[in-house]
Amino acid sequence: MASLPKRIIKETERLVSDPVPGITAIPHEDNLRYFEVTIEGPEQSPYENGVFGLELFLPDDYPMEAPKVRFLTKIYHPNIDRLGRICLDVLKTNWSPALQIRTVLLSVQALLASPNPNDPLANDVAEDWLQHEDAAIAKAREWTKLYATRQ
Amino acid sequence: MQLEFTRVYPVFSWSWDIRGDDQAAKENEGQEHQHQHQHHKEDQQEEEELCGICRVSYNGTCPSCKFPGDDCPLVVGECNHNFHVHCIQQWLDTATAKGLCPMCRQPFSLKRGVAINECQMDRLAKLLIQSQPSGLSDDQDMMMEQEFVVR
Amino acid sequence: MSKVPRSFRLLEELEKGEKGLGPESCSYGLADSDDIAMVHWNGTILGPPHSNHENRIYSVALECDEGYPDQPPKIKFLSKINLPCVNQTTGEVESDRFETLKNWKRSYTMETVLLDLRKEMAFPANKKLPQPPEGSTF
Repeated sequence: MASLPKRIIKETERLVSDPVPGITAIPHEDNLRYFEVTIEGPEQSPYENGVFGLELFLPDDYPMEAPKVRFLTKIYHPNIDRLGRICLDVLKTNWSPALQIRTVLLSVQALLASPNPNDPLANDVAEDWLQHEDAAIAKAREWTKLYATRQ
Repeated sequence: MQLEFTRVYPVFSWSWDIRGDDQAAKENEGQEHQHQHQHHKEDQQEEEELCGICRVSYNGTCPSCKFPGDDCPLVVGECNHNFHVHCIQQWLDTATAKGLCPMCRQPFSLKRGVAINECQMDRLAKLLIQSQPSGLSDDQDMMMEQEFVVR
Repeated sequence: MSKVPRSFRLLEELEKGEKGLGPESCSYGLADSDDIAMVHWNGTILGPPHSNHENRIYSVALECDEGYPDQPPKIKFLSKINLPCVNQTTGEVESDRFETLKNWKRSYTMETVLLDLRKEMAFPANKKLPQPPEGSTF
């Protein structure tokens, strides 16, 4: 395997020495481009008190290409599908090499605080969200309790 | 007292002549502006010294070069964001870039009248024409489709 | 080249399958769209022309366990087929009789497996083998 670019080493070091509150990201020992991530649900969102597991991978072209990120914990959210894939502009068309692992994970956390059912990935969830918002939020809360409770 | 020099070890240091920053400060000489600008500069001092793409010092090299200096030159954007020329070239060459500066998402162009930009003008001009956001709509779509067909 | 982890590799394959970017002679997708581990997959192979398989569509089940893509997937025919590398009681593709599984490389995908099975059907030695009635299953 080619040696790890300096930028990735620096980012990893900073994630450890100066972690983002509510977010952890630890590289796998056998693949330093592959991170185990946890994100705490934002306060006053239906995901409050939940801890969500994710995985993140830095492709060969990073930082010219965005990191790949996916939820491993089941979550009821209009922009996250059943396989944990995330619909977020900075992960696709609005990626910029000025962004970093930490800013990307902060954007994911912000997406939990403000779901956007008008630009859905999980269509059935988004429909639910638009038509019965209270019920959808209650369900998101219930799933958080069911699947995202800290062990 | 008489001193006799037996040996002299000259030590030199160099750094890129980024006249862009000074000029910008002068252009902003309107008083409130200048105050703001300086504050801004102090806050970002640390960030300002690093290439926003590879996060290595301006006076260092991009990830693919070994020797700093003329082999791996720095360029100054019209927006006063500076990058190693190899870094910004590689970014502008991606489809996601849409010709925009990674830092401020303004259309990227080289600042005129800056010495270190002069010899890069031609090299970047071609890339910028290809990735101008104005030319994005139809041409770019067609190019992408063709790529799919070839695959 | 860095090693793409299992799940992101499978997501790439899924996307290619979903968008139909692959060849028309085979298709594949997740067996259960809720399966976050992405272990079980369904596939189809269109029988090659100028053979006894022409115009037939074969269904297969693929299993990509934890070892994939360092290890090959397990693959099993659901539609009955007479082919030397396919176990005639279970429908399983026997890896020691199928080159692609036997000499597996990390760069191979489920699409590679399906297309190579199709080539196997078109082999001169195999293409005229008598076939069970269309639509029968293991």
